[in-house]
Amino acid sequence: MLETIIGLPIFGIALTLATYSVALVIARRINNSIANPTLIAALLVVLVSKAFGIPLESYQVGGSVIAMLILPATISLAVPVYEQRRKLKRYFLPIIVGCSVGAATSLASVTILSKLFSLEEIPSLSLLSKSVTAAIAIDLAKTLGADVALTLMAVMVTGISGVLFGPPLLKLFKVEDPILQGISMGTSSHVIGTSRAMEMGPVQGAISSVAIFVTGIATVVLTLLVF
Amino acid sequence: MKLATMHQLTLIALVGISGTALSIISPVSLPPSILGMILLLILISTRIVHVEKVSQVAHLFLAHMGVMFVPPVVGIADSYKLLGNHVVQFMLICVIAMVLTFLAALGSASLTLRLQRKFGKWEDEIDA
Repeated sequence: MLETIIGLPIFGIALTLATYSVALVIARRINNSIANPTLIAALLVVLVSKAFGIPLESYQVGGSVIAMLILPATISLAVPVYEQRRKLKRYFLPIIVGCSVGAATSLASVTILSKLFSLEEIPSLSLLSKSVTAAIAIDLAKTLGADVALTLMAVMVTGISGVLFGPPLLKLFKVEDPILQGISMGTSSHVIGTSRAMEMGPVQGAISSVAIFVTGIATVVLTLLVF
Repeated sequence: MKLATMHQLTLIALVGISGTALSIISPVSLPPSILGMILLLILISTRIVHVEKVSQVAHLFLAHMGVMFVPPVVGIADSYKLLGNHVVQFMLICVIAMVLTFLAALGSASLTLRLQRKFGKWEDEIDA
């Protein structure tokens, strides 16, 4: 019976929701940006699966149902963007410059670092689209002939490191301007960074949403031109 | 569930389908999520859809975005095997490049903003 239940979508859905609820409580207790609920929940899922000998493929049957919500959630970003339209019009130039320079830096640093760490061709190509949101990254990886799973891994690690290191970097450089906070979070760590920017405030969230879009376009154009 | 909530969910789902359809027929490979986002933005901006008609459900989705990324993050536990003994290097590159991208975006946007404030028409007081 247990095997039947584990193979059902509801198992992965329940495990995701349960671990995320626990992760929210833990994150609230620790009260530090290092304690990211998504990361804690993912660790808990892996720990629970390993402890009970549950294959991760079984978990993903239900997990993929939850992940399907990323599409409507990304579409929903249009609403805060619209609500902050006056600010966006005003800060159009800094957003375009910040995102384009960010996209170029991401591509250049990945190319140089891959050579420096003598990474093979497929992993290096998979790193190129790491700063864009998963949906764009998958398409770009296919166009470049990169590995989709590795690309997704790079996107996730980049997103998580943006959540972990973004806020401390803003603190270190004493950046209090919500516009600059939104641009740097969205450009460097796409939707995952934006979910953190949303917590900082509505302006940061909206600017970060636009930054995902502009960085995505800039990365696609630059990659197709150069690689 | 309230009827209004159901309408909002339906509308976002329809935009999702349209975005996917546009992605299939578009010559450049733009993802459904971005096309859907642009489409919804056009619908709201042109007042074809009033923002109140989607805002409640949209904000609900956005408030719970963190949970949606749990399964893809768990997926990393499987794909790292593809890297053999280059796992640490791969992760390090992601983190270092993220920090560099972050600083480059922050620095260039900050400089542009300062130049804009110095030389451009600036109406900070108007809608502050």
